[in-house]
Amino acid sequence: MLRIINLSKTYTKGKKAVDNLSLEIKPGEIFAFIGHNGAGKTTTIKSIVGILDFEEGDIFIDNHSIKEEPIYCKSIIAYIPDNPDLYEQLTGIQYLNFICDIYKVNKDQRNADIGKYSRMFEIEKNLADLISSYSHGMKQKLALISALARRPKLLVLDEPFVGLDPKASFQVKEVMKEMCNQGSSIFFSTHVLEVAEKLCDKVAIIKNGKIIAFGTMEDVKGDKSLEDVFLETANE
Amino acid sequence: MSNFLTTLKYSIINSFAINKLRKKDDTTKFSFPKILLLIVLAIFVYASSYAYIYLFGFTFNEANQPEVILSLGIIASIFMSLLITITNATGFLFKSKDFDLLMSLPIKQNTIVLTKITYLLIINYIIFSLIYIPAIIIYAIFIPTNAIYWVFSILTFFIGPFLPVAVSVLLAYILSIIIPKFKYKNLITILFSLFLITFIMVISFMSSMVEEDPTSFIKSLNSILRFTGEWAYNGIRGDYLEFLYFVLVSVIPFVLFTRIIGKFYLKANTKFASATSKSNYKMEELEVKSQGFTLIKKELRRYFNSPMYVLNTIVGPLLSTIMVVLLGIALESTLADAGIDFSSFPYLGAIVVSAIVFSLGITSTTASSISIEGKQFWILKSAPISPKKIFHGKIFINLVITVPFIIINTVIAIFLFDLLIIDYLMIFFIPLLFTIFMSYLGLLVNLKFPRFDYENDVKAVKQSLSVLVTMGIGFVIVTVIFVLAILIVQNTKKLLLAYLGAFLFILIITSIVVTLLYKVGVKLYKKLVI
Repeated sequence: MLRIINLSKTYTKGKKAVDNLSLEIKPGEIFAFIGHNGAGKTTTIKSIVGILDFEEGDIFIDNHSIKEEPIYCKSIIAYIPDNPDLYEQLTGIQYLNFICDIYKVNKDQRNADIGKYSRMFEIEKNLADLISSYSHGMKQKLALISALARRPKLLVLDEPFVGLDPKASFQVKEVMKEMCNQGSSIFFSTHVLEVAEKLCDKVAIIKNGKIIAFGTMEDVKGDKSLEDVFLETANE
Repeated sequence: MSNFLTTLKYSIINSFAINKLRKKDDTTKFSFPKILLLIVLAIFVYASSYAYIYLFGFTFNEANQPEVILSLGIIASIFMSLLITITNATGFLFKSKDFDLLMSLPIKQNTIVLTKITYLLIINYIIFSLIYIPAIIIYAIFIPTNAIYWVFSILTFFIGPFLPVAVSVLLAYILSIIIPKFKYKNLITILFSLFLITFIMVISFMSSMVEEDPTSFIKSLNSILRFTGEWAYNGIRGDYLEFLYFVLVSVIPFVLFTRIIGKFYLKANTKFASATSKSNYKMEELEVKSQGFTLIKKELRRYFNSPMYVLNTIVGPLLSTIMVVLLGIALESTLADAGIDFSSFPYLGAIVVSAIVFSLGITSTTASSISIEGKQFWILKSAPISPKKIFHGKIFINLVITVPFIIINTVIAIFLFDLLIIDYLMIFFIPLLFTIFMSYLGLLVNLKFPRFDYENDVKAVKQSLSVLVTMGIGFVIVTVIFVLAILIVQNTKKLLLAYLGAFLFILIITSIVVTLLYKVGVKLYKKLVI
C-alpha cells in the first residue's frame, strides 16, 4: 500500500531532514513511526501525502508515485496533521461537506458515516457551530471524522492521540483496527509508545532523518519493551 | 460541483466569515438584523464613493473636461487594486494556513491556484465596483453615451483587475523564490513592499494637482499605466483596436502567470516553508532582563516578524512624511497661483501640522495588538505580569515606529519651510501628543473588540472591527481638531491660540483615554478569553 524508496529531503542550506529512507507497509497493516522531536517524522509524513516537495527517492501509494500521480494518490489517502488547521469560519458540518464534496463521497455513505462517527466522538450537537469555537480535541475529532468519512485506503496520522480524551482515544484505536480488518493501512507517528506497542504490526524508529530500526513489532523489540528499545537506540 | 467551485465556495464562506451573519441561538438560520446592518453599511460606503467621485466629475465638468473622470476611474481602480493585491498576495498564495489542508486533498495544483486567484479577483471586483462603476455612471451623467459605451465599460470592469492581480501574483512568486535565500527575509519583504507602497502613494498624491491641471495629471499617470489605463479609456470611448490591446495586455499575462504559479505552487511553498536550522547553539551564560524590557523586546520581535503588520501600520507615519515633502514642493506654486506669497503665508505651519495629524489618525499598531496575539495570547495572559505593563509594551511599539517619522517631519519642515519657532515646535509636539492618544485609543478599542481566530495577520490588521473603529474615532477627532482650530483662528485671528486650543483638546482627550485604559481597559483585559 505504501512504499518509500530512498527518500531524502534537504531544507535550504540546512542538514538532511530525511536521509535515504526506505520502508514498506502492506494492506491491512498498522504502522507506527517513532522518533524524538525533529527526527524527521513530520517531513516524511508531509512528503508521503504530497504537501512537501522532495528531491531524491520516490513514494508509491498503491503502486502509484505521489510525484507522478498526486491526484490519484491523494484520492485514496486521508491525512490528519498533529495540529489540524481547519477553516475556522466554517461550521463543523460545512467542513465535513466540503471534504466529502472534494472526495465525491455519495449521499448515503456521507450521511451514514458522518452520523456514525460524530455520535461516536460525541460532537454531533456541535456540528452547526463555528469551528473557531471548538476546543483542540474537538477539532481533532472533526478532522478524524472527515478522514473516516472518505474511507481511505491509507490513513496517515501525525500524533493522532494528542488532545483526545481517553474515550475518544480508545474509539480511535478501535476504528483503526476495524479499518485494517477491511484492508486499509494506517501510518501514524506517535510518542505514546505503549499505544504503538499494543496496536501496531510494524514499527520504524527514525533518528536524525535515518531509519535505525524497522520491521514487525516483534522483530524490533524482541523481548524488551518498545520504550526500552527506543531509549537504547536514542542514546546510541 | 467541480473541485474548483466547491473549494471556492467554502473559501469564500470562510474568508468573508459569512457564517457570522447567522443567528447566535440557531446557527442554521441567517440573522435578518445582521444582514440589514450589512446592507445599510454597504449602501453608506457606496453612496459616499458615488458622492466623492461625483465631486470630481463636477470639478472636471466645470473645467470643460468631464471625460477625465472616466480615465481617473480606470486608473484609480487599477492603482487601488494593485496596492491591495500586492500587500495580500504573498500571504494569501504562499504562506496560507490552508496550504497543508488543500494540498493533501485530491485537487490539482492548478485548481488550488485558480481558486486563490479567483478569490483575489473577487476582492478586486469589490474595489472596482467602489471606484470604477461610479466613475462610468458619473461619466454618463456629464457626457451622452451609447450602447457600445456600456458594453465596453462592463467588459472593462471584468477585465480590469486581471493585470493588477497578474502583476501582484508574479511579484509574490518572485518574492517566494528570492526571499527564502536571504537571512533577513522579513526585512527584505518589508523594504520591497514599502518601496512599492511609497511609489503608489506618491503617484496617488498627484491627484492633489487635479484641480490645477487635470490633463497633465492624467498624462503623468497614463505614462505609467499606459498599457491599461489609456487603452481601456480610448477603447470605451470607441477605439476598438485600443480596446483589443487592453484586453490582450490584461488577459495574456493573467493566464500566463496563473499557469506558471499553478505549475510551481508546491515547489514555491516548500521553499517558503523550509526553515533553515543551524543546530549550532552553544549554551552561554544568560542575562537577566526586567519584565518591561523583555515585553518590549517581545513586542518588537512580533511586530517586525510580520511584514503585513508593519506594512499596514506604517502607512500612516509614512504618509505623513510624504505629505510634508509634497507640501514643501507643491504648496508654493499653489499659493502663488492663488496670489498668496508663500513666505508670508501665516497658516503654513498649521497646514503642515494638519497634514501630519490627519495621516497619523489613519493607523495605530495598538488597534490590532491584542487580536494579533491570536492563539499565543495565553502566554501573556498566564504570565505574572500586570495588564498595565503589557499595555505599555504595546503602546511603546506604536511610538517606536511613529516618533522617528515625527522627528523626520520636523527636520524636513525646518529645511523646506520658513516658519516661526512656534510652528516648528507644534509640528513636533501636536503630532507627538496625538500619536500618544492614538496609541492608547487603539489599545482600548482592541480590548473592547478583540478577536483571536484570524487566519493570518493581514486579516487582523486590515479587516478587524477594532481597526475600523479606531480609524473612525481617529477621523472624527481629527475633524474636531480642525474645526476647533479654524473657529479659534476665525474668532481671534491668532494662530498661537489655535495651536494651544488644539494642543489642549488633544491633551484632554488623551487624559480621558489613558484613564479609561487603566480603569476600563484593565477590566476588559482580565475578562479576555481565547
